[in-house]
This record gives sequence, C-alpha cells and structure tokens, in this order.
Amino acid sequence: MNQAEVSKLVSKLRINVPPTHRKLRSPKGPEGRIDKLRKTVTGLVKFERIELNYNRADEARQYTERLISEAIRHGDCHKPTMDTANFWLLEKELIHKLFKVLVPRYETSNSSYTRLINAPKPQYGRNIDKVVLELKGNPFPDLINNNTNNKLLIQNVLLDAAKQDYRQSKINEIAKNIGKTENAPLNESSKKPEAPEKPVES
Amino acid sequence: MIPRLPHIVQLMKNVERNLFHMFGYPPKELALAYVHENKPAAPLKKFSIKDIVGDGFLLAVPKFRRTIEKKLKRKFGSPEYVWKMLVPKNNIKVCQNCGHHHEKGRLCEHCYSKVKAETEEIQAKIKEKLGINPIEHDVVVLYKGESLPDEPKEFWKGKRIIEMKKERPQWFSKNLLQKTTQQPSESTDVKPTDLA
Amino acid sequence: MALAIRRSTSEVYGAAKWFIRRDCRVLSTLPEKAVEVPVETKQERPAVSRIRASARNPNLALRHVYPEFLPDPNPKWRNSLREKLERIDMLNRRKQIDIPEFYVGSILAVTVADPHAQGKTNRFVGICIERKGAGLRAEFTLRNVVDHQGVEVRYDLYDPTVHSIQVLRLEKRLDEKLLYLRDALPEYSTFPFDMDPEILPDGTPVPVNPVQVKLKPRPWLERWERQELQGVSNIEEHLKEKDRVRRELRKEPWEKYDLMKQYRRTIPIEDQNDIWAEVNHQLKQLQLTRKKVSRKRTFGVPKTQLG
Repeated sequence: MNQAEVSKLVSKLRINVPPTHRKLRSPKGPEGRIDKLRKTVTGLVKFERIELNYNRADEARQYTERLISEAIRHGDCHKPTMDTANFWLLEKELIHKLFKVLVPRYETSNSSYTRLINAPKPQYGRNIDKVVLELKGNPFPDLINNNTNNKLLIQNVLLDAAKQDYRQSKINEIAKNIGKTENAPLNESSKKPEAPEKPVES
Repeated sequence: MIPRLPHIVQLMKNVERNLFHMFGYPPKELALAYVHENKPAAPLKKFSIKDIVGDGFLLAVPKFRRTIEKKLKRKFGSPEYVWKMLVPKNNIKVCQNCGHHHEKGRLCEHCYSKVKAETEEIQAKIKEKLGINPIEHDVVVLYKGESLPDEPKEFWKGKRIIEMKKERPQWFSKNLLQKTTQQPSESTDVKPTDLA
Repeated sequence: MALAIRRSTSEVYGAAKWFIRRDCRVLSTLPEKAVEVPVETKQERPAVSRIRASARNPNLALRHVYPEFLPDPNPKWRNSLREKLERIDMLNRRKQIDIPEFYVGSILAVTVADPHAQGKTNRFVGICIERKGAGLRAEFTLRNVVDHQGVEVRYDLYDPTVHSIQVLRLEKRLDEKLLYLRDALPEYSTFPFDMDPEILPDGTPVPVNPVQVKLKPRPWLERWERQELQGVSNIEEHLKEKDRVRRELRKEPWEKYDLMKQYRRTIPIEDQNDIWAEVNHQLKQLQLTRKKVSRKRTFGVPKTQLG
C-alpha cells in the first residue's frame, strides 16, 4: 500500500495508461529505454506522423502526451518544464515548436493530443504489429477517410437501383390508371412526392 | 653336476633314436597304416549380405504404437497452442473508399500507401523549406493552383505556407477544417415507428 | 522558561485574534511553491485552457494536510466505491477524535487504549519519522529513545483504540522520511515525555527545521549515501572510496525526467479535484468546531474544563 505523492501535481492524460511501464529491450537497461523513447518522442514532434512498432509507439505516446500537457499547464517561463522539454527533445529547435506551435494548437482541445492507428499488416514476412502515431491537427492527408457518400459503394448502388425501380413501377401504375379512370388525378398527385423517399428510410 | 644329468640323458636318447632311425629301426611292419590324399582347394566364395543377415535381424525401431491422439496432435497441432491448419479469417472488411480488402481495426493497405507517399512528400518539402531554423509557426499546405481560403488575415499571420508543385490529389479533401458530421436538426417532432 | 514565554505570547496573540474576530485561516500550510502557480502568458487567448483552470483549484492545497484522503495510485488497488466508503469512515472517525495536522518531523504524543497498562492507557511521545498508507490504512511511526534504547511505535491513524493524538511541536524536516534517525546519534531522536506543546500562532506557515543530524559510524541499516539526504551532515566522513564510486555508478539522473513514472505515482489533478470537492466542506466544518472548542477551553469558565 502506497501513499500518493503530493509534492508534484500532474494533469490527467486523455489516453488509457497501462498500470505498469513496458520494458523496451536495450543493453543499457532503463537508461537505454529512456534513450529510445527520447528518440521516438523527438521524431514524433518533428515529423508529426511516424510509423513504428506498437510497443514503442504506445510508450512514446504516453510520454508525448505528458510533455505536451506539462507544456500547456506551465508555459515556457517555468524552469522545470523547460528542463524536461530540453531532456526529451533532442533537437533543440523543437522546443520552440512545442511551446509556440503545439501548445496553442492543443490548449483548448478536450481530447488527446495524439492518435494511434494500426497500420496494415504485411501478408507475408515478420508478423509485427505496426502502428501509425501522429499528432492531431497535422497538415497531412487524413488516415481514416470515412466517406460513406461514395456513389460507387455497393450499398449506394443498390439503393439507387431500388429507388429507380420503385419510381418506374409507380409511373407505370399512373399511366395505367390514366387510361382507365379520369377521376383520379387528385389521389395520384398527393402520392407522387412521397414515393422515392420510402426505400431510403427502410 | 646333478642338474646337467637329465640334459645329458636326453641328449643321449636323441642320438640313439636318430641312429636307429637311420638304420631302419623300428621296422616298417610296425608302422601305422596311413593313406595320403590330396584334397582339392575349396573355391573362393563371393561375399554376400545374406551371409550376415541370414534369416533377419533387428534395427532400432519404435517399440510401441503411437497413440491416435498423439498422431493427430503431431499432424494438425493443437488449437490452444499451435494450430497447423489454415484458418479462414473472419475479420476482413471492404474499404469504404477504394473497395480493397483490409483487416478490421487496421488501415486499408491501398489507401494507406497513397497517404504514406503523400505524407512523406510533404514532410520532405517541409524539411527542405525550413532547414534548421527554429519552428515557430504552424504549417499550411497549398497545392498547385490553390489560394489561401477565405479567413481573416490574422488567421494566416505567421503560418508557414508549404507549396507543393503538383495538383491536389483527388482523395485529399481540401477543406480539412470543415466538419464532416451533420449538425443535429432543430425540429423536435419525431416520426412514429413500429406502429404496425 | 523559553517555552513558557513562547506559549504565553502565542496565547496573547490568539486572544487578540479572538477579539478582533479576524477571519481565521483554515489551513496553516506553507504557500505553494512556484510549481503551483500557473504562469500567466502575456498574450491573452480567447478560450482558457481546461488544464490550467483545473490546476487553479485552491482545494488542492489540502493534499499536504490530508494525504491519506488520496487513494493509492496503483491501479491494481483502485476501487472507487471502496475509496468513497473509506473517506466517509475517515470523516466519521475524525468527528470522534481530533486528528491534527502533522508532518514527518513533527513531535507527537499519542494515547492509546492498552488493557495491560496501568490506567488502561498508554501514552507515547516521539518524532514522526514516516507517514504512509492511503485511506483507512494510513499509518505513522513515532521514534524516541527511552532509557538509552531506541523505540519506534507504528500507529494506525484511524485506529479505534487511539484515544488522542496531540501535536507537541509542529514542524517539517528537510527530508520526506526520517528513517536515518535510526542510524543517527541518539540525541537527535530523544524527546522528553513531559514535553509541553508549543502552540504556533494562527496563520503562520509550518516552520521547516533545518537541523542536520550526525550519523553513527557504519554499519548502517541502509545505504544512506545513495539517497541524496538533506538532513544528514557527516555522511561523507564514513564513506570509503569504494562507496563513492558505487554511488556514482548507481545514480539515475534520467529518473526525474521520467514523466510517466511521476504520473503513475500521483493522483491527477482532475481526480483530486473530485475528491477534495467531496470532503472539503466536512473537513472545514470539523476544523471550525475544533477551533470553537479550543477557544472555549482557553477562555471558558473553569467548571467546563472537567473533561
């Protein structure tokens, strides 16, 4: 049973944090692990979208989120935060980016600052889980482009055909009725606009 | 003197016997009857494996029968550990954009390759333009024949504009800042369902 | 004599406060260091960051006084319902006895029920060398030297057999834990059992005692040289060259930048805000009633002081 540390205050992360850290294999031990993560965090802040192994990406994601949330909370006039940024960002021009670009970008956001998406698995070869790790709000094309309005989608093609059929049958019916009775235009005119909407709802 | 005596006696006996032998003693009548025969030499036999094997001999072989369960495990593996048979994948989906197949919960390989190539191109361009200067502003990507969208001037102030020397790809939506989801409608009347 | 003077002056001060009816400060903690104050940026942004807004909650200062109200940060032991029930129990216990504000380094007198002792109670005085545990399992350890023999007693804070906890001297030390007193000279952990309580005037921050103890020669219970202790003066005297080399090898300078390690050791601000919002009102009420009772004791008619 432990007591929570009260000397430091941290803001809550908006991502799921596993209960323990992952060991990244390195001959230098825990120091090597931190070194690896520093490289990854630097790369993520620099390129804003990187592809790497799942384990390392998930660890680096937590550290990046923490770094950005610290930067948002304390700003660039707080010495410990500046030290931390200096430690984690190996290329020093990225410290400017952290405080001048990323902090304004994420200041008002209510969700996490990074996104972790599974990359496609190669069908043959080594079966390693690759992921794409990116900072939100980057200038690159979206990874997930959920475009359900595509006309060529099979569902949309079928719906269009169904609509067409229904309309055709209605027109045929009206054409028949016109020949038979002459006292029915009022009813048909009210039916007409309703007809094409029905299959879409169902 | 005494130890040499039997030796001398033996010597004398040998001399006596040889002398008698020379003069035909003992007489041939007392000799053993013996017929000398010349045996024909046995023909050389060729070596054959049968000489060794004979009726048969035992190699190191399994002593007991392998049970059916073990045989099947060896053949097909165990479903809990390593299952050697081919298993149909039930998590294949059709991509909404390009129609290629991809695993559920993963990116579509076809779409992602396009996005990846474009991303790397933009990243290279950004790196080339920026050099090693400190990064102080956000990036806006403009393709050939595009102008800045209608925003107040303060919005664009200080943004780094990266111009790509090619047309915007069709699949790269231009208005990234626009919301894709529809706003919920204001009307409160609900159509009745499940009436009949 | 000096003690008496200090006490009398503090009483006079308290009386003055009583007459002026100044608003009394509820907590007598140190003001937060620079870490707590959110840095104001020069240019004003239209929307205020949620993170900064939540960090400005004044209730967060309660965490120094009541650290046991924060749950164990290990997610393995987290259970929101159990934590809530424990907090209710803790508040109920605090209504029964006065559990004062104290820190590691403060000198306490604890009276517990003891069926084997004369008068059925046992009183122990000592310096608090460690405070740990969360919820109802919160505990603290007192150390004293009795008859040239070091004695340590571990008490549960919410133990129902505890009759009273009295703070004789409220102060902090330079370190989070004072376990090195076990290897220090006995005079640093010797306190008389008939010590008078020293009352601090209201509103003063808790003083930090900058005393640096002297360690006995080795062998020690722990490798104190590797722990970067502030409150030990003569640690270098007892070290050999070998120990210094090994201390250098064992250093982990990256650890203070390990952001996730810090995160996993603490309760995030947002969670803390919920907890303090839940218990803050009742804690303040308790404190106010204690204050009224103590005033009555000091200024009331002697008849009421029977208990």
